[in-house]
Amino acid sequence: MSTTSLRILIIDDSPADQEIYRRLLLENSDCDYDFLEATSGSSGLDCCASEKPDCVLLDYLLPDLNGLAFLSALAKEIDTPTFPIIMLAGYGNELNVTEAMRAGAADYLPKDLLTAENLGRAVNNAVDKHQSQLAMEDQRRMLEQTNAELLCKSEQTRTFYHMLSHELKTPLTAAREFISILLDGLAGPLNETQQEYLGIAKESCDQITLELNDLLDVARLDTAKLYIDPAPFVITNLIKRAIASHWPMAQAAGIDLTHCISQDVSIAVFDYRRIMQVLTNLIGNALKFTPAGGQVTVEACSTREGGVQIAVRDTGRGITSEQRQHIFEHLYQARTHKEAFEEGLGLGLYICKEVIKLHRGEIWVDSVLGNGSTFYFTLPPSTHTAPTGISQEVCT
Amino acid sequence: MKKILIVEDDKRIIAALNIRLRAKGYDVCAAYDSALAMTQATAHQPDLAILDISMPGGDGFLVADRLRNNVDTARIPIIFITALKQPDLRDKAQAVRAVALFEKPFESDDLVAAIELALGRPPATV
Repeated sequence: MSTTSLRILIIDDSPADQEIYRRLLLENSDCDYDFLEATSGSSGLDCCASEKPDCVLLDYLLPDLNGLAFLSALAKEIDTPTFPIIMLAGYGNELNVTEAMRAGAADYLPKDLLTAENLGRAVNNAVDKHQSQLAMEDQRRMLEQTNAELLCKSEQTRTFYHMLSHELKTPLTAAREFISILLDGLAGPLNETQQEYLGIAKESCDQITLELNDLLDVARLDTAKLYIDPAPFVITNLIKRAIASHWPMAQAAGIDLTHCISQDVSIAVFDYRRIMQVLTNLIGNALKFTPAGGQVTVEACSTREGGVQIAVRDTGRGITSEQRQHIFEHLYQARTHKEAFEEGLGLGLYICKEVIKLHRGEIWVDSVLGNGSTFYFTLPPSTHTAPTGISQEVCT
Repeated sequence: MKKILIVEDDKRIIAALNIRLRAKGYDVCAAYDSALAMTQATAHQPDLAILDISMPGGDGFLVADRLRNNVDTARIPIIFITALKQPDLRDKAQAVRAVALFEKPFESDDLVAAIELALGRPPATV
């Protein structure tokens, strides 16, 4: 007990009993006491409100209120009492301990069994416990406040990312569109070199867009605001469409881009846009790290559980075991600084992992350095009942 | 010649779309904000409207509502373009019976294809 002086409010209509409590407590040499007295429930309530004692000794049988009624009246006046109340009851008025505790008493002692030791201990324990509870409550409130502040900050960050993205995409749109106008020959004919350079400029615009969208997705993931909207889709259509959109890139890079889909794969339930985003990311990476003459294959098969496993296999340079352990982590790229220029912000695989997690699937990579990599992900069996309508395509 | 109204607060995007759409054989009128949009719509009676969503002083959905509530423009096809990326935008666009929504930066071929689809036939290329 760190407090050396405790203010004890004694509420008892018997001056003799009050004197007994005082004497018993004063026998404890390890603590000083200041005493306040009240002889009725109502004056005791006033005293509780005005004097803020460290502990209250409350006689169960008061002339105007019994102990339980007192506790209930006190609860109405003070939300969180800053002091514990020890209930004392005379012979013949013994109270059920549980009942007293449930009503808010910190302890209960029968008057006829009071000793200096048990009263002193009860007061000290009750004060200690009460102060710990108050400290815990303070801590809880502080944590709650910190949590609210952090949530608010992360929401502000998310809003900032959205504003940033909006502000950057507007001029980017104009830049990309004017490049397209030049490329399409609307401002006059171009020679081959000019076409090549403008093509690079346009690709760069698209790269900025991808990175901005990744930033927004990460901001959403950080604030748990990335949602999926699953519906039944034909897997073959998804894969064919993903391959078709990467076909020009593969051709330009001299890479053979193919697919291989098991006959047992048909429909799965997933968020088309998000799974397309995952597939686009994996195929894009595979093409980026596979040299000319190499091969990238998208494979799909059923899992034993009735779900679907999709793999993107390349014959590229492969991934070290150290990279394999961390490649799906948020900000892994920022931590390592390696090849940051080649690989962009490195948010893509983290987003893939989180999107697959939202689908309750798994994502992993197998790779041997120098011998290519295979990225796998699974979509678990649908919990939906038979689909009423299967979407073949998703409109723009 | 079919006429397209562009409502967009970024003048560079208007300029680019103007070049692109005129090259495709469309007449173009433009407004830089939602207030001017209705003046232009009433004056020019466009066949289709391209509306940016985020604009100061009233967003593209407000313009769409006004177009829908004006007897002369109630039926024109609307295409939204936006640099915003919010999941509910497509639902909102559908609610005002927009024919398409494109995120910026958009692929101009896709935008032109959506315009041609909405206007029924490809115009003669100039």
